[in-house]
Amino acid sequence: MKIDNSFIVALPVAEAWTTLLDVPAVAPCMPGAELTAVEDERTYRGQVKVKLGPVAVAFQGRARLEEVDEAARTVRVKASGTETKGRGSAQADVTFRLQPDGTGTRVVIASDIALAGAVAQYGRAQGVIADVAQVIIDTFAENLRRQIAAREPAAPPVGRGAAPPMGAAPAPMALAEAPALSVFAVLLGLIKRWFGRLTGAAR
Amino acid sequence: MSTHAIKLSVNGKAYERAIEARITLADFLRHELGLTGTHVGCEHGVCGACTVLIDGQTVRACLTFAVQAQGSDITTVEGLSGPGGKLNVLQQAFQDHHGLQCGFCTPGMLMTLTELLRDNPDPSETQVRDALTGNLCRCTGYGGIVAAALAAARRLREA
Amino acid sequence: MKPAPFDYHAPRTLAEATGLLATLENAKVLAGGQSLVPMMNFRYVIADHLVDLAQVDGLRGISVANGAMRIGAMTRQRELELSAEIAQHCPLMRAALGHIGHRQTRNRGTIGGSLVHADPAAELPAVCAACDAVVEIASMRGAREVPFAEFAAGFMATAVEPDEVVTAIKLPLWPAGHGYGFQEFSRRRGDFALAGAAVLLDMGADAVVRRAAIALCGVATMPLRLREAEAQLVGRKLDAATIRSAAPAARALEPISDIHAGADYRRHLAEVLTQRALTDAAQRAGAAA
Repeated sequence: MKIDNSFIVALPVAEAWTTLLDVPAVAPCMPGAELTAVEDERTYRGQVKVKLGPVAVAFQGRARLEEVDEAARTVRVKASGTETKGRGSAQADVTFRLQPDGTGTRVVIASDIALAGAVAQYGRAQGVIADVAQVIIDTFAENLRRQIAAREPAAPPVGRGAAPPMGAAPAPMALAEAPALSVFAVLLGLIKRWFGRLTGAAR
Repeated sequence: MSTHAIKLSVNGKAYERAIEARITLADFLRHELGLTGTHVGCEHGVCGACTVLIDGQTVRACLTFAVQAQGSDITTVEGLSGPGGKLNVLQQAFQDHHGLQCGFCTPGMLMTLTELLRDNPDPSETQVRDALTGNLCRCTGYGGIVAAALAAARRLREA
Repeated sequence: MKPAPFDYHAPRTLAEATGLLATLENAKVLAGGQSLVPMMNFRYVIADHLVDLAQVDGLRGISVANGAMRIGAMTRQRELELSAEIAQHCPLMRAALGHIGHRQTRNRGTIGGSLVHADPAAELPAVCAACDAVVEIASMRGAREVPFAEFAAGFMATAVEPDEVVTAIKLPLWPAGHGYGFQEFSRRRGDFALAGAAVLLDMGADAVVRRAAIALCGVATMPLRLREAEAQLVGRKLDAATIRSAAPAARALEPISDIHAGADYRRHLAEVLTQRALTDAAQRAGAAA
C-alpha cells in the first residue's frame, strides 16, 4: 500500500531536519507506537498497536534508518515487525524528504506498507485495510507536523497498553497529551475524509 | 487455565466433566465423550457439519463453548437411532434415497432436518432446500438429501 | 483454529456483568457468539476474559408502550422471527430476519450482539438505522441512551465502551399500515450481504409520501441512511418515476471494494435494491391505505 503525505512547517530546513532525526521524539507520533530499545544510532526496537473493530494486533520489530543523506535532506526508514500473537507481519518502507519552502520547510513522506499473514487475510476487513493504513500514516504525518512546528518534546506513547480504535469516524485518535486544538483538527480531518468517501466525488 | 465443572445430558444420558472454557461443544462431544458423529468442518459456523440440538434447537457446536451448554439437553446424531442401532425414519430415508456419499455432512443434515420436520411436518421442496442452506454438501448435489427429507416427511405423516 | 485460552464468567445480574467489565482487562462480552466465536476460533480476536450474558436477568423480551417497542439485547433472533409484536409493529425487521445467517445461527444470535459486532453487511443494524432506534447502554458508571446515528462509529466499531453492555434497543413505531421493504443480495442464501436496502414509508391516503427512511447495509463501513433521497421523496406521489429519482443517491456512494464485490458492483446493487425495496414499501403502504 503506497501512501503519500506532505506538509509545511514554518521552520528552516536545518532545524526541521534535526527534529526529524530525533527518533525517540518522533516515534511516538505514530499512533499506538512505543519505542522499547535502542540497538545502535540507526536501529531501534519497538511495538505498534492497532485496533480495528474487535481485532487488536500488536507488531513488534525493528526500525532502521537505512539511508541518511544530510546534503539531500532525505531519510529512508525501513521497519519490519511480526504480530506478537503469530497473526502475521508488517513491513514499512518510509522515505522523508525535506525541501525548503520559502523560509519554511516542506516535509514529503512516501510510505510503502505491506502486510502478510492472517492480519492481511481477514475477509471481512479486506476493503478497509488500505484505509486504516492511510489513516494511521495520515495521523503520523499530522502529529509529526505539530511536533516539528512546535519543537516540543513529543507526547508520551499512547497509553502503554492501549491502542487507538481505527476506522472510526468520530472516534478520537491518539495523543492523550496533545493540545485540545490539535486533537480537534485531527478529528475534523478524519470526519471530512470519511464523509468525503461516503458522499462520493462527482463521477 | 482454570477448568469449569459442567453437568449436561447428551442423548438422554447425564454427564459431569471438568473442562477448560475454550473447549467448543463440538470438541467436547468428540474428545471428552467419544461421540464422534458430530463432525468438524470449518470451525467458523458456515458448513453445518457440527450441527446438534441444544434443548431441541439446532446450533453450531463449533460456535458454542461446552461451558455454555451447562444444564442443557443435547441431541447428537448418535441419539437418532433406536435400540440396537435401528435407523429412524429420517435415517432410513437417507439410506433409501442416496442422501449421503462420504457421509461427512450427514450428521448435520440429519439434525437440521430433525428440527425442520418437527416444526413443519409437511414442508414443500422449497422449504426443505431453504432449511438446508446452513448445511453444505460436497458430494451429493443435495438431490438425494432433499428427496430423503420429503420421503421421510411423508412416512412420518402416514405413521 | 482453536481459540486462545480465556477465563469464562457467567454473571447472573447486570450489576455483576458490568462490575466484571469494569475490572477485567481485555474482556469481551459473549452474547449469541455467532460472530465472536468464529473470530476467536481464527484467533483474530484474542480475549483474556469472556463475560457471558446468557444468564443475566432482564435482558430478554419484547414490550410495546408509549409508541415504541423495546427489545432486550439478549433476545435471540429466532425469538424475534416468531414474535407477534415484531410482525405487527416492525414488519421491516421481520422481513430482514429471514436473511440473517441460517436457522442454526439465529437460534443463538441476538439483536444486541449483532448491533455491537457491527459488521458492515449486517441486517439488524441497517433496520435499526432506518427505524432511528435508540440503544440503551449500561455500565458501573450509569445508564445512557444513544440514538443509532451516533451508535455506529466506523468499521465494526460502535459507541459502546469496553466496560459497557447494551441492554435494550428501543424502536419508535411507525403508523399502522406503513410501508416497508427489505431487499438484500448475497451470493448464496445466508451469506453476508453484498448490499441490502431497508425502507420504511408513511404515505397519506392520496399516496403522497409523508415520511421515508432508506438505510443500506453492506455498502459502506456502517449502515448508510440516504437522507437526501428521503427528503426528495417527502411530499411527492410515489410512482415508478419518483422511485427512480431516489436512485442517484445510491449511485453517488463510494462503496467498499473487496474480494467479495468491487465498488462498481456494490454501487449497482445499492441502486437496484433501493428501488426494489421502495417499490415493495409503496405497494404495502398503498395496499394498507
